[in-house]
Amino acid sequence: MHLDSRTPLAFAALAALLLSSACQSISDSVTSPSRWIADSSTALGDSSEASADSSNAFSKSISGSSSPEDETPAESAYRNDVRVAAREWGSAGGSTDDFARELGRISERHGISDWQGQSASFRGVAEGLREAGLPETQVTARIEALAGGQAPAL
Amino acid sequence: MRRRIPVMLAGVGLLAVALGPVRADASDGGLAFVHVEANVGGASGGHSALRVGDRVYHYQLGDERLLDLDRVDWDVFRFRYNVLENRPLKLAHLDVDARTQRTVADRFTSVLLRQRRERAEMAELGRDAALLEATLGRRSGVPTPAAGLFDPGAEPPPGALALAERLRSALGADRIALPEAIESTPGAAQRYREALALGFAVRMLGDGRPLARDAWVAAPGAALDAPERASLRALQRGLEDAMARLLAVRARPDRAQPLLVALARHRAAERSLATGRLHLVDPFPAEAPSLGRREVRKRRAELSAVADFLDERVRGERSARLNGEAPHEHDLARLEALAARAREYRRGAEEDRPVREPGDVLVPRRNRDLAVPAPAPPGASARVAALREEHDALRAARETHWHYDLFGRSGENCVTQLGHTVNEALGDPQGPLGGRVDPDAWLRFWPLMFFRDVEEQLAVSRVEALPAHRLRLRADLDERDGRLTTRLRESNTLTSAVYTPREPDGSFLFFTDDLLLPRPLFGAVNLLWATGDGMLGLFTAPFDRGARLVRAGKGALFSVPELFFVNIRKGTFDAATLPASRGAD
Repeated sequence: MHLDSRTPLAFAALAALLLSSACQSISDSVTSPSRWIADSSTALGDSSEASADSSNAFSKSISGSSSPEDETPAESAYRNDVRVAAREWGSAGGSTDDFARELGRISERHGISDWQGQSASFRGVAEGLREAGLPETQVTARIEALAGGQAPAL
Repeated sequence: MRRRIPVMLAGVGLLAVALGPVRADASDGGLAFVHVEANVGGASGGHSALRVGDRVYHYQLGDERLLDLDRVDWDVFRFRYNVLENRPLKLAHLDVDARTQRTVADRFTSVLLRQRRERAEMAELGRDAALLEATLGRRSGVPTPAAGLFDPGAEPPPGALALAERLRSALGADRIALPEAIESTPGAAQRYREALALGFAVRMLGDGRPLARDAWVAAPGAALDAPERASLRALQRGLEDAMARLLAVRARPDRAQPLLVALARHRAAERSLATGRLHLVDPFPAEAPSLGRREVRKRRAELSAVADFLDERVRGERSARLNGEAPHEHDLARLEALAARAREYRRGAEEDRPVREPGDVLVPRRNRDLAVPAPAPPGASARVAALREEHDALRAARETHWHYDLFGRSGENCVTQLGHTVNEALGDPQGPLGGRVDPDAWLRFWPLMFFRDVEEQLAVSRVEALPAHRLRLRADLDERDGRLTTRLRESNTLTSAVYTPREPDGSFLFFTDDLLLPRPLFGAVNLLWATGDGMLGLFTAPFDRGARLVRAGKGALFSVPELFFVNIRKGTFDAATLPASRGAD
């Protein structure tokens, strides 16, 4: 049991001391090497089930054979971020080049430099654009543009 | 005589022990507001977060006092706050449907992407300005991500020219012509930089240039075995396909970086196969934030312990990912980051040198300044000034949205911002959470008050309490050995077997987080203890640079609340002081 919930006066006296530091500073965590014990074990959604066959999927058929059910947690987390970004792209607009750069930034945070080589990228884009209400012809056209003219089947 | 639990950082065992049974319910669905109780260090007034499924969202105080959203796995969050920082956590669970959960998660993801986009746009403007400054002779070149992985002046390593030959047709297809001038149209500077970077990548590939001398890391572990060799060969084949595609397909304007990264990994794999030892690309930027020598000296044991752990992880990842097939890119990236960090910490601990300590770096981005052949465009100086103004305007906009301003007009901190984001996600005041918390109400920026509101205003299905790590260890001891002598031993920092004093905790003698009525008395003793330590510190200051004085001051400061029945200080742990077994003595 903690008395701090029963002593509002004492807390008020300490408020000035405490409130100014009521947010964790990023620099505190950045300078804590011990935190990598956990981060290194579970980062990227702990992709313990990640399989090699999902690499370089661009060169393989991506005609629906790799459904979300086949995804690892890491791929799913990545696709989800792409979906949210694509939905905003579909709603707010913007150039294909700018969105391609945005995909580059998103994928980098997931440990992926070559997003065109990941089928999850195109699945996420398709989902997001559909959520934004774009007609299927536009979804296909935008994905084709991102893929460089080689429209991956979804 | 003092007995201490042996510190055994035996691979994942430590993490499993530290997280204990709570890991089992980490896959719970729904939402949960998380209250992190106070302790010394950052967020000494407590902290708030939102758990959505396995992920936790929370705002932190970042650069320039802006509130940056962070997203981490629940296990990571819990290990940091509940284990290392030894803070009790409370979770107020709300049973919501999948749609609500997704709506909230999407909103936080959107904020996260927006904040990252804002930072990236500012960085791009900075690089555009650097490009123009380079044309004016004010700097040597424009910083280019991943270009620093290569040594453009060194001789080709074995196999490099053969690779160039295999990719000759793709290389020829994309011999891009760098524009002779930097136009003044919007986006022209960025396009020029991208073309410059692509030209550099094509040269590194075509001329067979090697990795820079410090751009790779030799992974710990035995010589390559047959499955690892097969994996590396498969990886090389996949990378060659990817490079050919990146050269031929022009849909991606920023494809120079993935091309350079793929080439660097190909070179590292080649070196591995040639030497029989696993070599990986070092993904850390040379200019990453670092721990200085003094800090490294103080944390030598911790760095060494984490390096041991990371080495173990690298060995595990090697056998799991290099199993005969090509590793997935994100698995390879993680392996690179693990190996680089392990080497960094090991070198720091053993060679007394600064330690690069970047955040979540996964894809190599080592910069190099590339010389700019284009002449200064007309009005270049004015354009640099305009870019600086645009940069400042973006910064001002970010400050408007994300400024930590607890005592100002907006009154925002990490707690209120969390509440606002949840409310923005759900909109309806009486929506799926069964009520609404008003983060602008009086004192709701205080994590404790905010959490009380959550409990009272929302349809909370259950409240889960996770005691601080030390108290869990002590409870285990009590269960197995309820002797009075054991309890006395664990009551203080001198004889405790589960806690080792750490400098950031300050000087104190008695733990008071598990006491109620005697708290002021123990607090008074702690205050006297810290005062005495401080007096000693006056004499030792010339020799320890005032470290003891600082520790004593911190100890005295956090003893004062205990006089008023309030506990803040609970002790903390790090990798070197974390007991590996729960309560064994």
